[in-house]
Amino acid sequence: MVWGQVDRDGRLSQASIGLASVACELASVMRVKSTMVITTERMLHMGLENVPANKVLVLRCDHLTPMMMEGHVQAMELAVRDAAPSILLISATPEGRELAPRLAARLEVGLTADCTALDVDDLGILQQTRPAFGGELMATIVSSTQPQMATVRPGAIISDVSLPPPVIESRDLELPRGQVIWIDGSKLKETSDLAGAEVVIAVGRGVGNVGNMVIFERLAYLMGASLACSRPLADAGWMQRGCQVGQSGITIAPRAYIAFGISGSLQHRVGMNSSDIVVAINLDPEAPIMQMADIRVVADAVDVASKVISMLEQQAGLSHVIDEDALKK
Amino acid sequence: MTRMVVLVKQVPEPGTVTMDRETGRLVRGSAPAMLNPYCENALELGLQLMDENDELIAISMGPPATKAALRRCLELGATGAVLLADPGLAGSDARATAIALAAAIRSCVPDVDLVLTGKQAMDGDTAQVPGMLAEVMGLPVAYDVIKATWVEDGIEVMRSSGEYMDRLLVPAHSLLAVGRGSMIRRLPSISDLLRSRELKVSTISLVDIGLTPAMVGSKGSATRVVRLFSPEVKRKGIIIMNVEEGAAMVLEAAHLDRGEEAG
Ligand SMILES: Cc1cc2nc3c(=O)[nH]c(=O)nc-3n(C[C@H](O)[C@H](O)[C@H](O)COP(=O)(O)OP(=O)(O)OC[C@H]3O[C@@H](n4cnc5c(N)ncnc54)[C@H](O)[C@@H]3O)c2cc1C
Repeated sequence: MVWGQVDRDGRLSQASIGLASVACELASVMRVKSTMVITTERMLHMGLENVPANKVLVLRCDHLTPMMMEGHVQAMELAVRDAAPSILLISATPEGRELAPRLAARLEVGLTADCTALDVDDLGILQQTRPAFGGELMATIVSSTQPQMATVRPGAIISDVSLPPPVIESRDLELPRGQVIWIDGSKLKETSDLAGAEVVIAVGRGVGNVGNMVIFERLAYLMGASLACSRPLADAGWMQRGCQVGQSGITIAPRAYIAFGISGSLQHRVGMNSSDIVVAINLDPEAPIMQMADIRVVADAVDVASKVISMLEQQAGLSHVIDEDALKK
Repeated sequence: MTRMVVLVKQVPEPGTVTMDRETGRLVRGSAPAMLNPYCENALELGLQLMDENDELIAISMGPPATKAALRRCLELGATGAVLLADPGLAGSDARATAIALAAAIRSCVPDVDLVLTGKQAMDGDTAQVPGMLAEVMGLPVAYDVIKATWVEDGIEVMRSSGEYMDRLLVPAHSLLAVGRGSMIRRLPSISDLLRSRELKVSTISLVDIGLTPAMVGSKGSATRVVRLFSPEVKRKGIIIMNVEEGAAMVLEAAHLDRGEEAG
């Protein structure tokens, strides 16, 4: 079973849809059906035929607003007690990270937070893998209670299944109004475009000083890439928190991830290790990011960036000339 | 008079902890320790909410060395401090921790109004304990709190989570999980320091709060680490030692087609 989260714009969240796909794969290994339970205040605008699940259960109640989790905890508790799933997955969005522990406490079951990989063994035991503190380790965790419950980092596990349209069932619920009241709110920032970027230039402490940032901004612009960073740069305010890749930032899987002056701590790598191609530019050939990179450039970050910029500018200049030639003919 | 409890955790300084590959537990050893930054924010919020006769009791669960973190809370203005220490607590997962903390609060501050916690600990980073604790105690909860002020019918709270900043009204009897925020850390004043000398960190164990080791610790935990490993990497690993070639490879990688990529 997967929680279907509805965003403030009234749409089923992308993270939930992605997670439903993951759940389908697990369900097919276990030869069981997968269900998405959507808890919502209004009926959804979007068609639910495309949700990757065998069944979609829509639980509707006026108190199920996207802002407050109390009602969602109650609705999900009902759904779980009703269907008794063997596995329950929730996206580790801010809302999911509030819902999951509260629900786990009510159901009196264990919970593994922020998983980056999931698997089931022959006995149907969910192997829940997450980064563990203290450096270069991942931990696989199992639960002794049912449902086996985990939150999953949005974007960390990618799965692509195609299924026939799900059976859709809707139910109205009567839930009491929550005790915490939402007064008002505002959107802080536009979500960064990093999540969908094809090419990402990521910068770390090895880029030197804040003055060098213009070089990398220019580089990203010329390459049509999005700019991301490691945590120290977000901490220092050189870049926005939303651009931070890693355990306490975002998880992305671009076609190319090009890391300038990033050491590649485990906390950083969990945010990018599903990228198709990783290029690392680092003075230290032993840096962890170099160990995992497809292309390991042992050189100064600013030197390489400047060189790429001049190559691109030259190319642009060149094609300009060629275009003029073409026009003359 | 308002009675508040702030739950604090002592965490190792980043980068000083290893994990026991056999048991899957953190080996803290003699690593230097600090007050979890989110907990320090929670303490600060409590101090801001505190009026003259109010109480703010800091409670922590951890090994005896955690006393240092609680002493620091007293110096900063907490009016009392309690350490829950017991060998039976070792290996507690988030839910066992929530059960133990709820029992500690029930027996030390039975008439508590407001419970404050950090939203997550820097070492585990799971952010599970506040929500679980609120449910075990039957309290309403607000996550990612960065500001709070008393109003007539409760507490007005600013919540900063993900893309949104929200204003919430929370009952006076509730749990606030405090987030990052831009709270100014205070240094202890001379009078606080003098006052805190009179105060003691009291220590309690499982029997004092009516729990048995079977209910908490590794026995009372539903989750268990079964495997620890280094993330494996299966990548090509071409090494380039000069700037020109490196720059060319950067461009090539960026323009490679998904289909052309070697599996
Ligand atoms: C609970 C927790 C959560 C965390 N979450 C995150 C997270 O989400 N994201 C994250 O990124 N970090 C996170 N961290 C921090 C992480 O552990 C590292 O400290 C951080 O990623 C290091 O950033 P960095 O690689 O930029 O800096 P450093 O580790 O200092 O690395 C700098 C690198 O630059 C190289 N270098 C130096 N000079 C040059 C030069 N002139 N040219 C080229 N290379 C050069 C060096 O060889 C080095 O490898 C977290 C830590 C903890 C404890």
